[in-house]
Parts: sequence; structure tokens; C-alpha cells
Amino acid sequence: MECTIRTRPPSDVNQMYLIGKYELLKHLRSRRLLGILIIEVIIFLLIMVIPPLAGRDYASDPAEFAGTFYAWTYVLVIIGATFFAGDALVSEFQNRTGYLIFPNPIKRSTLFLGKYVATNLIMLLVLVIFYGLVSIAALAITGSVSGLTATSLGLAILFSLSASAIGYLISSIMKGGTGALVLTFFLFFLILPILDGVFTVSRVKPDFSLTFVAGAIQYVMQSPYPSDFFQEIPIGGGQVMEIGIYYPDVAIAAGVMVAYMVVGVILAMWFFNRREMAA
Amino acid sequence: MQDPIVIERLVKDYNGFRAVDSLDLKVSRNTFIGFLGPNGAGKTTTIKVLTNLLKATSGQAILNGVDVVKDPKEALSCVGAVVETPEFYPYLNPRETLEYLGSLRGMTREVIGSRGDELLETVKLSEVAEKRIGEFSKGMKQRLAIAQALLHEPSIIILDEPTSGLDPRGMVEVREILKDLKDQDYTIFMSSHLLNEVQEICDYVALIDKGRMLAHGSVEELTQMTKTKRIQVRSLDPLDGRMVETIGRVNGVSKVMRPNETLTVVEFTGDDQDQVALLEEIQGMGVRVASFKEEGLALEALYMNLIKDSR
Repeated sequence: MECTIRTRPPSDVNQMYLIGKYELLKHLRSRRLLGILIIEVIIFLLIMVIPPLAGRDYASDPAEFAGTFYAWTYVLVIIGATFFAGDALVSEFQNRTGYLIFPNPIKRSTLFLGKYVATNLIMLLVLVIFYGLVSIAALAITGSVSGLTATSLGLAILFSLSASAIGYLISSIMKGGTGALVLTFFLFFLILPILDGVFTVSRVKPDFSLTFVAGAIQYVMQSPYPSDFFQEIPIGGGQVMEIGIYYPDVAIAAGVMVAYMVVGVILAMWFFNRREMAA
Repeated sequence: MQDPIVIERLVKDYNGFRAVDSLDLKVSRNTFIGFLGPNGAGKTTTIKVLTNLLKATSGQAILNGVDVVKDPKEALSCVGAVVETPEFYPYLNPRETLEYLGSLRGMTREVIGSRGDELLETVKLSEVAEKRIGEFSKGMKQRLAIAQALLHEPSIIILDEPTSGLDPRGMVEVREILKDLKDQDYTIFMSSHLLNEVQEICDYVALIDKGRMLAHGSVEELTQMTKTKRIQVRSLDPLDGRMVETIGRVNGVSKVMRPNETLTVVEFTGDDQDQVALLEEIQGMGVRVASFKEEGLALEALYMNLIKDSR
């Protein structure tokens, strides 16, 4: 039997576009976007203001100049993944908006992908603004923009895709939005960095860690690219402990980020598809 | 032609608890069916399976010939649903919400615009069409939920306790909307635990408890299944104990209750002749009868009997 108004649900791709469009609208109207943009501007201004106040000159090399800023890209991506991915799925269940959207003729996977794309578009916007500000400053102060900026931005985008995938995975299994936000934030800011530290002390290069490989976003601005080395640290009694100072290989970093993204998206989608609107 | 809603041996288990137990039901086209049962009977679970909010453990839930479990996108393409009281996206206003949901269902912008305005008028939300939903009351959200369910003029409308949690005015408003729908070309499946609401609005009734179907049929068929009815007698003169005893002896009277001196409620199983005799007996005692009417509670009697039997 047909509806009185002759309609056919659009294709999955078209529905994904529609979901993405309205998710983008949600982000654009949210205080979270405003918040992360304010954080971004504060980071930019602090790095611009502190050297002159400390009586130091800016780096004259455009890559070195920009590298100082890009050390903070990690922070921006993690905040973005927390804000825009952490509760993206769980909120449909917790806030009961699922009762509105799920009974529509749309597959959960389409809904998931539309949201995921929108999350990453908004994070791309945040990154482009940050890299744009830094590039303008580099042009004004050093007279040019380093070609390595594109590589750093590319890695930042990959990191954004992978971190948000992990955020979505957390969101797909957590019961509460606040818990999902907190876990996403602390996973990237505390838990994984601690694990990276443990591996470093154990002289194991943590190439499998997303937070470790994210360092490439900053290191790629250094010429030559830094190499791994071992450092001896005195621990008393004339004894020393040797720890590894590791730098992620750029290609491996990109591969690991892609792997996290793919696995994160597949698992999150699987959990989201199976999750029931029981309560 | 296939019935628009077909439920066959539907089972839904939650962690070892069987919420819906081999439920079978067919709903014919243009029927307004009330899905009745006490809290925890399995009404909402059944509706959630029908609307792809829950996956069935086994069995089938077929909408317009398509199994929701196997192909929810196709099955729900011509369905409008209000399940519990949904929350809306607070960053959108009612008009944007209808645009969003209408576009997901494949409606053009022009059709959404005209149909949306018409529906917002119907549910009395035109004046707040541009206002963010975050500030809306529960009643306003429920009316908007009904509007979105009707947006694409679906052939099937599924409503889960649509007046639940509303204030009396909100309940009346929603019931008026539902009564209007009854005259249109919709097949409506509405769960409720409010018997008077179902008796007032629905043509057909399905009674369930513990996830099992107890009875289903037209309201008339079901009310005829029980002979017990209640007759409310309001008099200008108070009835004394002797009069109550006399009434109790009338053929067909099973119980006489006196909520107050001038109001008497008679539980009655007799036929129309007995009912006439009852009225004559009361008037014959010199009591001035202001009103003598059947209370629409036959369904309640049946419901209570069936629920009691299933416990």
C-alpha cells in the first residue's frame, strides 16, 4: 500500500547526505563549536604573545615557526573528538531522540555514517581555521609558509578521523553521554599517553598506539625528521636507566591512524546497529 | 489484499524475560485498533518491534507486506509512528523538524512546506513554528510528534499511549486529533491502558497481558462477551436501605453500590426487559430519577475478567 503522498525514501547515500547536513547544522548551532573555536584562538594568541613577552624572537624558519603551533593540534583534535563524537550515538538513546529518528525508513548504518561524516567535517573546519591562522602568521612573520604544513594537516585530518572513530565506538557502547564524553577525553589525554610512557620506559616503540603516532603531526615540521635514540637517566647509586625516545615513522603513523579509523568505524557501527531502544 | 499490519508468532525476550509471547494479530485496512493491556503487558515492546526500535527474538512483524525485521527501511516507508513521548532535536524548530523528517522520507521541499503548515495548524503549533523545540512543554512535543507521524500521509499510523503524561487539556486535544484521523484513510494501531479512551476512539480492540493475546475483535463484539454492565442512577431523592434492598432483588441485578445518597450504581447482567423493570421499580418507590444511564464500562468488566484469568 502506498502513502497518500507519493514518496519513496531516498537512497542510502542521499539519506546520509541529509543526516550529515542536519548534524552539521547541530554542530554549527552548538556552544561546543564556539567553545573549541575560542580554545583555538586562545592557543594561537598565547603562542603568538609569549615569545615577545619572554624577550625571545620568533623562529625565522617557517616550518619551525609553524611546528610550535602544531604541537597543539593534538589537543584540538582530542577536544573535537570529545565534543563532536563522544556522545553522538549515546545521546540518541539517552535523550530519547531515537524514538523520533529510528522509526523512520532509514538504516542505522546510514544514520551512523551521516553523523560520522558531519563530525569530521566540523573537525576539519576547526583544523583548517587553525592551520589557516598559523599559515597567515607564518607568512607575516617569516615571509613564507612551509610545504610541510600540508603533510601535517593531512596527518591531523587522519588523526581526527581515527580519534572520532574511537569516540563513536565509545559512544556506541556507553549508557550515558557524560560517561562517554569523560571516557573519550581521558582515554586520549591520560590513559593512552600513560601507556605510551610505560612502553617507552620498557624500550618498546609503541607504533600501535594512536596517541603515539599522533606525534607525527608535530614532528613532520622538523627538518631533518627526528630519529629514535636511547637516553640514560641516573636513578641513584651510580646506576642509570636507559629509556627509548621514539619518534613515529610518518608512513606507519598514517597506516596506524587509518587502521584505528577502519576498526573503530566498523565496530561502532556494529554496536550501534545492534543496540536496542529498550528503556 | 494483504492486511496492512500482520503480527505472526512474535516473540521478544529480554535477558530471559519473555515480554511478548507468540503474539498473533492481523489488522485490516482503515481500522482504528486499540491495543490494550496493563502496564508490563507487552504493548510498548510490540510497538517497538513494529517500529524497528527493538529486534524480535522470533516471529514476524509485517507492515504493508514487508517484514520489519528483515527490511525495516522498506517496511517503515509508509508508516508514521509516535512511540512513547519522543524528544526532539532542541536545535531545530518545528518547521525544520518536519523538513528534516520529511526529506528523509523522500518528500519534496514544496510538499513538506504545504503539508507541514497544514499539520502545524491542525496540532495548534503554527504560532511556535519558528521557535526552538527545547523550550516546549510535553503536550506541545506530543502534538508535534503526531504532526511528524502524519506528515507523509502514511497508510499506517502507530501510536504508543499518545495521551500518556498529558494534562487533561492536552489529552482532550490529542483525542480530538485522533478522532479526526478516524474519518480518514488510515490504519491506526494505538496502544493504551485507558479503557475509556479506547472505547471512545477505536473500532477494534486487542487485549493482551503477559505478552499474550487475550481477546480481539470489534468493540461491540468484545463488550457483548461480557453481560455485566453498570447502570448509574442519579435521583433527586435519597435512597434508603430498604429501597436498595428492593433494587437488589430486581431480576439481573448482581450488586448495588451507593457512592452517595442520590447516586446509585447497579451492576447488572439482565436484558433490556430487566433494565426497563429496574427503572420502573425505582420510580415505583416514589424516587424521582434525574438520570438513568449505562456506564460505558462493559469493556472494563471484560478487561478485568480476562486479566484476572491470565494472572
